[in-house]
Amino acid sequence: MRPSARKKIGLLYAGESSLSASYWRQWLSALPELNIIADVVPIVIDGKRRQDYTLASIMALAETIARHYAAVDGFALLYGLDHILYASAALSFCLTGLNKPVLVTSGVLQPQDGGSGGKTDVGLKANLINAMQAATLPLAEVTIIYGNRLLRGNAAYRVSAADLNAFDAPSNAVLGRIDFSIRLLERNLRSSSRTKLALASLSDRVEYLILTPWLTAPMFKRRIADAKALLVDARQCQDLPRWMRVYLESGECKKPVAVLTASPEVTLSSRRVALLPIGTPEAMLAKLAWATAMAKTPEKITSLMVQDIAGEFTV
Amino acid sequence: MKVYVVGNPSAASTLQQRYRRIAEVLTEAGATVSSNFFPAAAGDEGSPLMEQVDAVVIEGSDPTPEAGHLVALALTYRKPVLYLNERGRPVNYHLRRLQESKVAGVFLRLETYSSENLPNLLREFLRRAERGEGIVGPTIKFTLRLTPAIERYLVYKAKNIKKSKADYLRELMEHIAAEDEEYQRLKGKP
Repeated sequence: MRPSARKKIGLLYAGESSLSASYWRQWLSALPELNIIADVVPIVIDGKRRQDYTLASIMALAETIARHYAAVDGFALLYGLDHILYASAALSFCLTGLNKPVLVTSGVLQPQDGGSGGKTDVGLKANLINAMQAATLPLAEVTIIYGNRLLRGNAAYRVSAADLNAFDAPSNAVLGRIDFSIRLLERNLRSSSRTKLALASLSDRVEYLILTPWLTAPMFKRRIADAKALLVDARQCQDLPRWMRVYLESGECKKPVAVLTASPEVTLSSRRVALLPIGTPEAMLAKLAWATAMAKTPEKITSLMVQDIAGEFTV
Repeated sequence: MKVYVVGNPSAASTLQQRYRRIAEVLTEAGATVSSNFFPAAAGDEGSPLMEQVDAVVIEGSDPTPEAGHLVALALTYRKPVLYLNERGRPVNYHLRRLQESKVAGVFLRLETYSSENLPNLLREFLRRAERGEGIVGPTIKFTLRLTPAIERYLVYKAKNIKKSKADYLRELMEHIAAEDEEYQRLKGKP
């Protein structure tokens, strides 16, 4: 509230492609409450680049954040609920050396609101206001703010489709709670990076497979043949099928494979395989896309996969 | 009526005393007060705490950095907000603009006060909030279990007076409260 304490927050809209930049600005002008929290800098990503919440739209988001990074103190971002976990995880890997808060929350602006923030869903407005406030706080990572919780973006998971708190995270990845105000849990925050912000790429040639009885060896080989890297979700299984173990261990598989499993019975010695006992599928897929773009060899990719890069292994 | 009072925990001791005075006046007038300078009250985890209060009073002479956030959040939930500034202290430009806006201005009252007029300002705000001035409709959810006999009567009555059962019960409670002299005295009415 003191003039010296006012911060500039970039407010990004990355939702439905049908809404224009002028609509977004009009919508924000109907929410003057935001201006008592901070100076709002509305930013819109070109509609063509945010279609259908694709990987390209996430990259457009990362590029936009990097472009405005020096001009603002933090970012609040409105994104589609169903894709928020992928987006926040991907941003946490793309934006290396992040030293400012990037708050991701959810809500879809409806064109029938007629540009009036006053008529919009209370939950969306409350999430946006909380995101704006949290973006003024000393956070240095990508964070999901939704309902009463502030969660590490690459460790959060979905718990409900419609509740106030649709997301949760392991206890050490809960960064804050909202009672009336936002209470940060200081012990869980990541310390600021000493490096400058750099924008990393994400490969669009990673595949995700859930291990089910329907998965056969030929199907598995076809999927991996088309990809640069593969994430196998085996969290529901005690062990991998014999054919998969043989294939991954024999050296026949030349591509990097990450296996999400908490079972102690899954043991593979190939350096092209990374066993991941912790991590959400969304975060591990985003990380694999990042590692595949970063590293040249399968061994280097799997070695990056088992390192904690951006707090994604918090328990 | 549940009122959330906001002060700056790191403000000077004279202001801290003022916050306590505000809480006292509101309590004496019949409000249930919670505050950021009392131990935190346990709320219902399933809904935002701001949704669970009826009004917000902010002493903003030396504002806490959270004050703007709390004003914005209270306005979002359409709760009446009284923002108090000690006489002689500058009033925040953004708050003044907000009070002038069509939607937010209905709920936000900016007042400068002295120790003499503070109790009256608070009581007047409470009266207005209780009358629901600026509030579009009832916002508090309440679950009530009835006997079959009461339910039967409620259905019969609502049908006869062509109102919903909820509207009928709300009006009945308003009538009982208006007739309750002891309660009216507590609220500070003549």
